[in-house]
Amino acid sequence: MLVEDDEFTRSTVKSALQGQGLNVIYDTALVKDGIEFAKQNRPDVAVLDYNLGKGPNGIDLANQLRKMQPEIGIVLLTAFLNPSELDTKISQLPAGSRYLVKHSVSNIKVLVKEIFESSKYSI
Amino acid sequence: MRTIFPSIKSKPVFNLDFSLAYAGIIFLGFSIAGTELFQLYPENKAEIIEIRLIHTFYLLIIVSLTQVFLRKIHINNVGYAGLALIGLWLAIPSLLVRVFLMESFGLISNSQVASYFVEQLSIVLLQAFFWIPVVIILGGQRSRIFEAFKDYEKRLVITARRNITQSTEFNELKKQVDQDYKDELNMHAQLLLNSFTFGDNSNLSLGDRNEIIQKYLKTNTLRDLSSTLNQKSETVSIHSKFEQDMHSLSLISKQFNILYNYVARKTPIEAWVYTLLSFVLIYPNYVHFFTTKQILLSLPAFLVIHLVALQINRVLRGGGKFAILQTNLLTLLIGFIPFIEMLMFMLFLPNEAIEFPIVVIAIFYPLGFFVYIRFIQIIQPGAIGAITNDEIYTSQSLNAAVSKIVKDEFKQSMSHQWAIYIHGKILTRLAATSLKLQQAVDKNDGENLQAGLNSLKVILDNPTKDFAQDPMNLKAEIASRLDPWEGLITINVVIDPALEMVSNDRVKDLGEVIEEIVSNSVRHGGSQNILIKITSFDHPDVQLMIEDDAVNPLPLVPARIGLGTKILNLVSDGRWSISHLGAKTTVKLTMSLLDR
Repeated sequence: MLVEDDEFTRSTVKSALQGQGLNVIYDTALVKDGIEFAKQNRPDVAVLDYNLGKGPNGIDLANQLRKMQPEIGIVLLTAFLNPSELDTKISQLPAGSRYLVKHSVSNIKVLVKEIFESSKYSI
Repeated sequence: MRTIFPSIKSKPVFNLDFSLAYAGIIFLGFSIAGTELFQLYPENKAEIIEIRLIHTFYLLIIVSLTQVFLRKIHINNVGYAGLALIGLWLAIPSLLVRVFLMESFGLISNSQVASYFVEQLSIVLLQAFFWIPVVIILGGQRSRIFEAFKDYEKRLVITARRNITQSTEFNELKKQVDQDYKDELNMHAQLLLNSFTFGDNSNLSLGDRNEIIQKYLKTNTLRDLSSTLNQKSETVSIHSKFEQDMHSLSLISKQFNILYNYVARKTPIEAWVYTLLSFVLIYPNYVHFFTTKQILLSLPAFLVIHLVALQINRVLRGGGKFAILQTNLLTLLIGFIPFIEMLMFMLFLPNEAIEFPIVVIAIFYPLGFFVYIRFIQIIQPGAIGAITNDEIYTSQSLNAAVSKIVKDEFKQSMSHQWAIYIHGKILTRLAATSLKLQQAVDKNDGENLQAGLNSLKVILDNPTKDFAQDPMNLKAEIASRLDPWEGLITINVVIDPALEMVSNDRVKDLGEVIEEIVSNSVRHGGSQNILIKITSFDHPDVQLMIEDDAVNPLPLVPARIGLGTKILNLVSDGRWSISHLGAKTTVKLTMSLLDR
C-alpha cells in the first residue's frame, strides 16, 4: 500500500515498484482511505510519505496502522537529508519501521530492499 | 471594588499574612544598625553588630511563633484593632529584649535603662500601630497585587501585539519576508536549473546525461535551504518560572512610567499621605537626636510639606502637559525639605542645628522618599482599578520589545511554512523525477528522459507558484484541516452559522491554529475525541474552543515556547489560555476575523 499526497510522486513511485515486481495493491493521497483499506485488506507493507499535506503526517498514520495491524511493515519516505533533521519526530515512529530519504529512491532497489526489511518485522 | 487600605469606618477585615514581615524585620535591622553604627554608637561597632544579629534573630523567631499560634487558634483575619494588637504584641517585647541587650553589652548603664525605654517607646508604638499593620496588610494583598499586575501585563502585551500586527510597518515586513523567501527559493532553483544544462546535451549517452543530472539532484542546495528553514522554525525557548517572572518584571518596568503617569493623573494620592510618610520617616531622628525645643522648631516644616503636597494634588487633578514633570519636582522638593531645614538651622539658629551626613539627608532621603511615593501611587486602589479596567496605553519601549517578539514569531512561522512547502512540493517532486529519469535510462528510453528533464525545468522555473493558495471560506477551511484526521480520531465541529462563509487570510490563520492544536493534542496528548466550537465573540472577534480527552494534557503555562505557542500568540495577539476540568483539557483562543 502506498500513501503519498503528491499525485506525480505517487504515480512515479507506484510504477517503479511495480516495475520491480512488487504488487502495489492500493495507492492513495488520503490518510482516511489508507486506514480504511488497511482495515479491510491487511497489506504486508505500507509505504508512507512523511509529509502528507494538511492534517496528520506519515508518522501519525504509521502509528495508527501499527495499532490496527501490529505485524505490518512500514517504510516512511521523507525529503529530509538525514534522520537528525527530523529530530524527535523519528523517535515517535512505531518500532520496526524503516526510514528512507527520498533522493535515495532514484535507485528503486534501495526502496525495495527497505520494503523487504520492514516486512520482516515481528511483534 | 475592594481597596488595599479601606477606610476604618468600613470596619475592614484583613488576612493575616506575615510573609512580608520577615523581609521588613531584616530591612529594619539594617536601618537601625546604620543609625547606631554611624551616628549613635560609632565607637561600639562590634557590640552593635552582635546586638542587631541577636535582636533580628529574636524577631524572626517571635514572628514565626506568633504566626503558628494564630493559625493554631484559627485566627486568620482581623480588623485594624487586631492588627494594632498584634503590632503591640510584637513590638513591646522586642523593645524589652533590645533594652536588655543594650544593657548586657554595656551600651547603656543600669541607671539609663528606664530613660532609654521611654525614649524608644514612641518609635516602637509607631512600629506597632503603623509599620507592622502596613506590612501585614500588604502581605495579605500581595497575591491580589501580583495577579492584577500579571493580568495587566497580559493585556499590555495583547494591546501591544494588536498595535504591531495592525501597523503598516508589520504589513511591509510581511511582504518583505515573503519576498525574501521567494527570492531565496528562486535563486536556489535557478542554480539547480542552470546545472542541468550540463546534462541537457543530446550528444551524450542517456547514462551520462542521467549521471550528471542525478549528481546535481542529490547535491542540490534546495535541500539545505529546506533544512535551514526547518531548523529555524523549530527553535525553542525554554523558560523557568523564575525567568518568566523576571520577563514579566522587565515588561512592567518598561511600562512603569506610563502606568505611574496615568494613575497619578487619574487618582493622585492625597496630600496627607506625603505628610504622614515624611513624619514616619523622620520621627526616629526626633527621638534619637532632637531636643523638645528642636522638635517644636522643626514642626513647621510639616506644614510646608503639606502645602507642597496639596499643590501636587492640585496640579495632578488639573492635568496639563507638564503636570507630571511639575509634580516630580515638587515631590523631590518635599524630600529635600529636611535638608533645607537643616541648612536654615545652621544659618539662622546655629546653636540648635543638628548636622546629618550630607549623603543621607541630601541624597538617600530625598531619593528614597521619591521612590516610596511612586510605589505607593502605583499600588493604591486607583492604580489597581485602572489596571483592571484596561485604561492603559503601551509605552514605546514595551512596544519595541513586543514588536521584536512578534516579528521573530512571524519569521519563524513563515520559515516553517516555506520549509514544509519546499520539502513537500519541490523536493518530493524532484525525487520522483529523479526516479523517473533512472527508469528511463534503465529502459533506454530517450524520450522519457527528455520528458523528465522538461518536468524538472517546469518545477524549477517557477518554484513558488503553488505556495500561496486562495483563501477559502471558514467552513471549507476547517473541513480541509480536519477531514484528513478522519479515521485516526473523532472530531466534532460546531461553527456559528453566521461565520461559515467568512473568507479572508485570517480564516487561513484560524485553520492553521486549529491544525496546530489538534495535531499537538493527538501527537503529544494521545487524544481520541476532540470537540471544536467556533463562536462569534465580540465583533470582529471570534472564540475558538477546543476540548480534548488527552491523557497527557498540556501544562497550564508552557515551560517551552516552541513554534506552536508562537503561532497561537501571533494569530490571537496572545489571547489564549489552557484549562483543565476533570479529564478534559480546553484551549480557548480569541482572534479577530477581520483581515489585517
